[in-house]
Amino acid sequence: MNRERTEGTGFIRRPPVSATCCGRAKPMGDSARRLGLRPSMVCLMLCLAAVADATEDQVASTFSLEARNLQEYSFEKMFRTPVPYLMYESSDGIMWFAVEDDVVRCDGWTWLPLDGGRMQLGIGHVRKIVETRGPTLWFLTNAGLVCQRDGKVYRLRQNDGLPVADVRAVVEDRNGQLWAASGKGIAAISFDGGDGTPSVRRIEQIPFLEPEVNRALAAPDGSVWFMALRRSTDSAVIFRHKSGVWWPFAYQSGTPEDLPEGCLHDMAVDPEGNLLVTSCRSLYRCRNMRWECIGAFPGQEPARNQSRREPDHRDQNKILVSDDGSIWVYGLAQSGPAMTASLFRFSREGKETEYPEVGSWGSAASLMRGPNASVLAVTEQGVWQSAASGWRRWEIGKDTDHTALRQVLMASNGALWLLTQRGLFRYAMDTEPPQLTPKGDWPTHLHEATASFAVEAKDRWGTSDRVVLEVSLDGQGVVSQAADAPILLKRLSPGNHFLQVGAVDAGGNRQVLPAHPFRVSLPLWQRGDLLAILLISLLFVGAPSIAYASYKHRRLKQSLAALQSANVRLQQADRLKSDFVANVSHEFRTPLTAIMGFVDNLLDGIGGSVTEKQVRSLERVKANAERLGHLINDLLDLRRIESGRLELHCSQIKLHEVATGIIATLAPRAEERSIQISLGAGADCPMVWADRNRIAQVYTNIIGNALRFTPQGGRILVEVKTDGNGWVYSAVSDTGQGIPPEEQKRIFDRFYQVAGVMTGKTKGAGLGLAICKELVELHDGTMGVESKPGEGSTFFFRLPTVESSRT
Amino acid sequence: MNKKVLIVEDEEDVAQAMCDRIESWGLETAVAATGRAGLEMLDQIHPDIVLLDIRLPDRNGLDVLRDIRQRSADLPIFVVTASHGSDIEPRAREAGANEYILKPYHPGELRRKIFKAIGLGTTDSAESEQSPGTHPG
Repeated sequence: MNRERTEGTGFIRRPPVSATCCGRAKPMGDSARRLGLRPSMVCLMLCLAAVADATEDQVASTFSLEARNLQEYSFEKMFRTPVPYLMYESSDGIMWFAVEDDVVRCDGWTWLPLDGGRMQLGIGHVRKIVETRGPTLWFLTNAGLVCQRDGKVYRLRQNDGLPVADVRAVVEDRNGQLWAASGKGIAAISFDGGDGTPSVRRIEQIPFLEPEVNRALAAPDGSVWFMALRRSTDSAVIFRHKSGVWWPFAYQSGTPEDLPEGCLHDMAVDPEGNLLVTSCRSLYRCRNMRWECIGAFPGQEPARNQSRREPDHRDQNKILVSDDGSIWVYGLAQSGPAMTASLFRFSREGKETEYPEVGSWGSAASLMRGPNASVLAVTEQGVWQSAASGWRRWEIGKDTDHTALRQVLMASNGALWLLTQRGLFRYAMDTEPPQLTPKGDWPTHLHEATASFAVEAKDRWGTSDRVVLEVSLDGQGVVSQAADAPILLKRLSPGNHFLQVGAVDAGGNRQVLPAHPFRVSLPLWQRGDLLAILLISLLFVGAPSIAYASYKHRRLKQSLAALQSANVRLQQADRLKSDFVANVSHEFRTPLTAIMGFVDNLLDGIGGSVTEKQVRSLERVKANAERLGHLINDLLDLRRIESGRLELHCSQIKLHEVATGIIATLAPRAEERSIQISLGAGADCPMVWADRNRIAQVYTNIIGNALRFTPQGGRILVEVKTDGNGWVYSAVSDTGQGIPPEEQKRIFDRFYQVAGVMTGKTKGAGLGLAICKELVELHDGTMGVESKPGEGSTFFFRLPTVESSRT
Repeated sequence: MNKKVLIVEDEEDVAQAMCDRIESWGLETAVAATGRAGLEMLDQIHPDIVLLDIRLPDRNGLDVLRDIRQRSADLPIFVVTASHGSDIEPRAREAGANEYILKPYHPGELRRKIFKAIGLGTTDSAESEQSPGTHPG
C-alpha cells in the first residue's frame, strides 16, 4: 500500500518502468549543467564479471560502475545547506530530499524547496517519508506531520489534534483510510478540513492498552497492523485493526511462548499476505491468525529498559522479503563484547542460510531489494549484491569519497542516487546500451502463420525487467513489449519478412539487433490471401451483377413511377378537355337557342307576318343555325367516344324499325328534290342489342348524306338483311356520283369532305361518318363503303344479333 | 284564366324567344333570371308549369328543382338545358323533373309536352311540327 523510506542507509528499488518514462536521465544532467555543476569525471574500471567466474572469496566478484556521467549536486551551492540526510523518489518520479529544516523536490529539471526557496519551512527532523495514494507525501518529523499533496503543503501539529507531535507511522489501509500513529495514540486522518486540508477526524481509543506505537503496516487483507510498546508493562505488543475492530494479538491464545514481550523489532508481509514479525532471536509468521516460529537466529535480548530507550529498534532484525520470496533478516548480534552485523536468509523452502561475511562489511548496514530478485546490502563501506553463489561488491567512486554511504536509490529513470555523508551523487546510467542477444536459433523459414522469437535482454544491472523490447515487422509500426517474454508474431502472411528488435533500458539507451529475414510459406488452407482473392473475385463478378440488376430495377421503378404520374396527368388533362368541350358546347348552344328561337318565331308568324322572300332568308338562317347545332353535337359525341365516356343505353331493337322511322322523318326533304327513298324487306331480321338513339343517329347521317349527294330524281335504297350467322346487315345505296377509290379510304376520317360534289342545300361538317363508324364499332359492329364513280355509293354496316352479342 | 308558365332562365334572349313562343299559344309567362327569384315568384304567381334551366348564376338548377318539388309535389317542372351530358337527364328526373328538354328546343315538341302537362289539348295547334325523337343528331 504505502512505501516508506526511513532515515539511514538503505535502498529503495522501484518497480519496473515502462518505456515512456525512460527519458528522464538526460534532462536531469542538463539541469545539473544549467546549475553550474561540473560533473566529476570518475573513471572507474568496470568489469562485469559473470556469476560463473565467482571465486571462493566472500566477495565473489565485483560490479563496477563506469560512471562517466557522475554528477554531484551541491546543496551548499544551491541552497547553502548541508548535505541532505534522506532522499525519496515518489511514484510520479519526483525526487525528494530532506535537508536541514526543509524538503527540496526535484522533478528532473528544477530543484524547489517546499517553502518556495527560503529554506525555513521549520518542519524539524524528517524521520520518514511515506507515500499514500494521490500521490500524497507524508513527512514524519519530530515537530508533527507535514503533508504534500497537489503542490500544496499542509501541516498537522499536536494542537491540530495529533496525540503527540512525534508521529512514528502513517499508513493507508485498503479502504483509503489514513492512520497516523504516535507514541500516545492512533489518529484517523481525512482530507475533509475545508479546501481538502487534512485534519484529524478522530482519535482511536484502543480499549485494551495504552499503546506507544512505533510501526504500522497495511496488509493486503485490509487490516492494519500496529507494533507498539505497552507502557504499563513496558512490553511490546502487536495488534490489528480491521473493519472497525481492534484485535489484541499479544493476548490471543496460541501466542508462542517464546514471543518475548518487549522485544519485537520489525514486521513485514510475505508474498502470501501473512504477517512476519521478528523478535530478538526469532522470526514469526502469523498465518490464519495463528503464530508460528519459522526461523531462529542468535541474538541478544536487550535489557528490558532498552526498548524504552530505543523504541523503534532501529536497524535491529529488520525483515526484507525479496522478489523470490526469501525472507532476509538483518540485524545486530552480540559477538563477544561488541555488536556485529548478522544476516540470515530463510528461503521459501524453509532453508536457513547465514552470511557471516556481513560482519566485515562495516556497520549501519541495511537491506534493499536489488535487480533480478537479488538483495543489496548497503553499509557505510559500500554496496553488496547477492548472487546465486555469493556476493559481489559494487565498485563505486574510487576517486571520490563514496564511503560513509547513507542511502542508495535506484530511480525509475535508471539513475543511481548515492547519498553519503559528504554529498549527493547521481550516476546517470545512460552511457551503456543494454545487452541484447537472440536466444536459440531464430528460424529463417516458417511453415505456419505464427512464430516466436526469444531474446535475452539485460541492462547494465543485469536485469531484464527494466528493459523494454521494441519490435518491428517489415519496418512497419514499432510495438513495445516486456523483455522477458518471447516475441510472438501472429497472422503472418506468406512471403518474405524481416524482423527488427531493439531493447531500451530505463535510461533510454537502445541496442538494436541486425534485421532478421525470414520466409513464411503456408499450406493452401491457411492462405488467407488466396481466400481473400477468391472472395474479391466473387465480389467483382457478383457485386456488379447485383448492382446492375438493382440499377435496372431502380430505373424500371422510376420509369413506372414516371409513367404512372404521366398517366395521372394525362387523365387529368383528358378530363379537363372533356369538361372544356362540354362547357364550350353548352356556351355555343345557348346563343344558338336564342337564334333558333327567334327565327322559328318569325317563321311561324309570331310577332307579325313576313314576306316570302324574308321567309326564305330566315330558313337559310335556320338551316345554318341547325348546322352549327349539329356540329356542336358531333364534336361532343366525338369527344365522348374519344374519352370512352359515351354511354350506350342498349336494348333489343330491330334495325328495320329504326330505319323506317328515319326514312319517315327525312321523307319531306326527299320529296322536295323528287328523290325516292325505299326500304327493302328485312322486318323479320333478328333483333340487335343496341342503343336505339345512336343507331337512329347512324341512319340519319348516312341517309342524310345520300340525300345530299344524290341528284334530283335519284333513288335511295335502304336494306336490312341477315346472313344467318349472327350478323344483321344494313346498307344505304344511292345513285349519286360515287366516291373515287382513293377517297373511299379517307371518307371516315374526321372533317373529311368529298370535294365539289355537294348537291344538297346544306353542307356537313365532315364529322358525321367518322361518328357513325365509331358508334357502329362501339356496338361491336363494322362499317364500310362501296362505290363506283358515276354509279353511286353504298354505305353499309353490320351489327351482331342479340344471340351472338350475348355469347 | 290563362295557364301560367314560369321560366327560370338567366339568358335574356333565350327567355324572350321562349316567352314569345309560349304566349303565342295563349299562355301567360313570367321569367326569373335566378334560382332564388324563381322560388320567390313561385309563391307570388303560382304557375301551372315551370321551365327550369340547369345552369343558373346563383344556384345549381337541380337544387332549385328539389326546392320547388318540396313545395309542390304536383307542379309540372321541365328541365330545359343546353348541357347534353349523358348523366344529367337521370339526375334531373331523380330530382323530380317531369320532362327533360334539350336546347335548342324544338317548338312543336315543347308545345306538345307543355300542353300535355298542364292538361290542355293540342288540337288547336295549327303549327306543322315534326315528330319527337328527331332531334338532329
